[in-house]
Amino acid sequence: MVYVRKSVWANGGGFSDPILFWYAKGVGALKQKPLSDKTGWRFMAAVHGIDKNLWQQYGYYTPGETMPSQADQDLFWNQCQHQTWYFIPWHRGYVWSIEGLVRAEIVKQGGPADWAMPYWNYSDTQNPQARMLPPAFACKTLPDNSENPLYVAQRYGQGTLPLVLPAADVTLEALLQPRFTGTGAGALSGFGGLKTGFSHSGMVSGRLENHPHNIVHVDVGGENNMGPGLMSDPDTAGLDPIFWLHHANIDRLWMVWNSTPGHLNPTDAAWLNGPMDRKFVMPTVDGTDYFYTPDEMQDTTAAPLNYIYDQQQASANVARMAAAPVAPQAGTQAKGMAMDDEKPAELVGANAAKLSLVGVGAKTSVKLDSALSRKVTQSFKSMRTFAASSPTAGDATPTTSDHVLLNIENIRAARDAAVVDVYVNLPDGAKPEDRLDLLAGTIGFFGVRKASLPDQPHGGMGISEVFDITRIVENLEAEGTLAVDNLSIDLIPRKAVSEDAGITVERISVYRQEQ
Amino acid sequence: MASRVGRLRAVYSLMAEPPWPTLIVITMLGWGAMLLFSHELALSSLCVAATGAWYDQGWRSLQAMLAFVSPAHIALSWLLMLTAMMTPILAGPLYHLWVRSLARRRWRAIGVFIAAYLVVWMGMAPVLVLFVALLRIAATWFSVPVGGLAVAIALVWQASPVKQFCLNRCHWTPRLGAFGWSADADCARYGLVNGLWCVGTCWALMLVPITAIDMPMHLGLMVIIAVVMVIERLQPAKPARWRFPVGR
Repeated sequence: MVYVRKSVWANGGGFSDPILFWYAKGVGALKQKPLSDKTGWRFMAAVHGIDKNLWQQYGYYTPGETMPSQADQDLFWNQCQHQTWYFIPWHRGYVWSIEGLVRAEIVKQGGPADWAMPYWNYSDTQNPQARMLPPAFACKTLPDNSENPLYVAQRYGQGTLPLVLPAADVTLEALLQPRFTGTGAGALSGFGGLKTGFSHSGMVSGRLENHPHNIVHVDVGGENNMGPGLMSDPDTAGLDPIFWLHHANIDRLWMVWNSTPGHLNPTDAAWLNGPMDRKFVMPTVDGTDYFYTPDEMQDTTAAPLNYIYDQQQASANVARMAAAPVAPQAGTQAKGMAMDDEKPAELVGANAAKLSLVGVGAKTSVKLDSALSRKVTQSFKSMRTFAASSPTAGDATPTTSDHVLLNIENIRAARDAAVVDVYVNLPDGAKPEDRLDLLAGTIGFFGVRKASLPDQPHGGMGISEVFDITRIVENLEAEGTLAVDNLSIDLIPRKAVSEDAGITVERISVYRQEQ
Repeated sequence: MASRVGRLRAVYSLMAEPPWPTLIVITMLGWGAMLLFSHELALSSLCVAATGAWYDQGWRSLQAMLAFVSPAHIALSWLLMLTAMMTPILAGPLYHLWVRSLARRRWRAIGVFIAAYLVVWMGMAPVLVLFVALLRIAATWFSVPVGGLAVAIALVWQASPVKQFCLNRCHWTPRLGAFGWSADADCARYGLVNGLWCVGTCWALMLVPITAIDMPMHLGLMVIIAVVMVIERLQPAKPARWRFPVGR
């Protein structure tokens, strides 16, 4: 049997939709199971990540309660794959696993045997409600006035209700990435992430992981005086029932990306077989452990996955429409096809010292190597000359300018939940919201806290982000306001950042990638 | 689940990524040179120095040996040993230096880093040799084989949280200035700090081959230790706690 995953908004997003009603029933049953039960809610959340202090703070862990065996903890827990090209396939198996566990509980209670995990398509521009937290997750009780298992108090969002995701945070530029895998250090990280060596831990998120994935996590979780919301931190995110709909949507977007001709998954044995340092493994309904590889996650219609998304093609069209306004960029590959001969990026310049982000923002100056900077501006001029001289150059090989990449290196924080916009050459006194043309990108601080701990898989190196600022720099150059030896960078948090958030950036640098 | 063939193909794919091919060539050259020139380069003499012979045979015996084996030879032998054993575990730092430096400064960045890294390890050489000599004396007093004593120390250190603490910090990749002396200073600092954590991670393992006087045994143990060090270094950081010392 092939299960069909449907939109959370297909029938209004409330409990009149049997899919959501039964999801609540299934989640309620899983929450009754002890932490030591591999098929329980909390065990499955810990598969993503567990921090006992945070869990205790939120009432999900009681010191002294029975734990799974150390062997089971070592095998299953803290598996989440972030800042790596394994991010997408690992999460596919993860969502599939809990979908089976929830379905089994639903069937036990007399619910539909064909139940499948719904997805939250917050990027659907044709649905005015799309970006709102679906009502089934926002109300405290079920229709019979019993407690709603889908409700979570620690969803702080932007601090106002109803919880609505900002439109800019759910755009789908990631779908325009022609390559699954990024070229390497300094360059864009591709749709799915970078090849991450022998360890599954890298530092740079793939484009889909960065935007919308990370940002949606933080936009839902947020924080208050007591700490981050559940969705803001990977060690608590899996406890929130909306997590699974968010990830079903990320999983669907992988399928949408795949549906574009030329958008191919890696064929590299290192991706197909999974990381060397740990196996992907999930609990299943029948009590067996399911070990899997990225290769086995490629076809969802094959056993054991056996699912599809409703209106897959329609979704693909909508996704492309949502991404379309930002599509043309100076350095974008002319044919949009995966290219194997991309040149590595090279450093052009960097700021002078480590940066601390406190309060309403931080500004730094990136000193550029003049000679390299001139090469970049020369490539812009060449492209303009070519465009001006060949208005109908459809059949000629187009000249492409250098890509210019802004690297925010080794971002660290003491807690997650910040959302930070990064601007290039923002004039003093200008309102950032009026200068979106200078917005390089947005960083959702999801997983930064954990990545900043020296004894966690990232080794305390934090995370890094890479933004394509080609179009911004090209426009500045064209209007004559670009200095050849300097770029000014502003980091502007959505909410003022306190000192104890401990946000630092080791280095901000600019790379060029010759095309 | 990944098949064995699949995993082998994955390893091959990962080893084909820069800087691995270059590092594998360099490390193999290091091992080859050690095999070829071990006698001339007084590797064994170094180990004899570590045998504590000077304790049994008096100060003059040690003086005679040092006269026979010049410090330059000993230094060179350590350099070869470091080239063979440490090159692969520096893959991460060397890659970081390469990609985070201006293209025209890449070799300079690596040179400064390695110089600083070697300062730490070369300084550590006499300390380790002296330590093994003392170990040999202790072994004589307690009538236990010195090799066994060295293995016991290595196993305890391997199991300890301190070892994991040091190993975790080998993953540190600092900011590197792009220009001028600040870029050099950052590379030097990186080499020194990385060298210190490397010593903290590896010193106990290094004791084991130093105690072996027999040359084939000495080299064989070095190879085993080198493989252990590479595998450990490729693992992600973990919480520092007592662990089973093998297969950590």
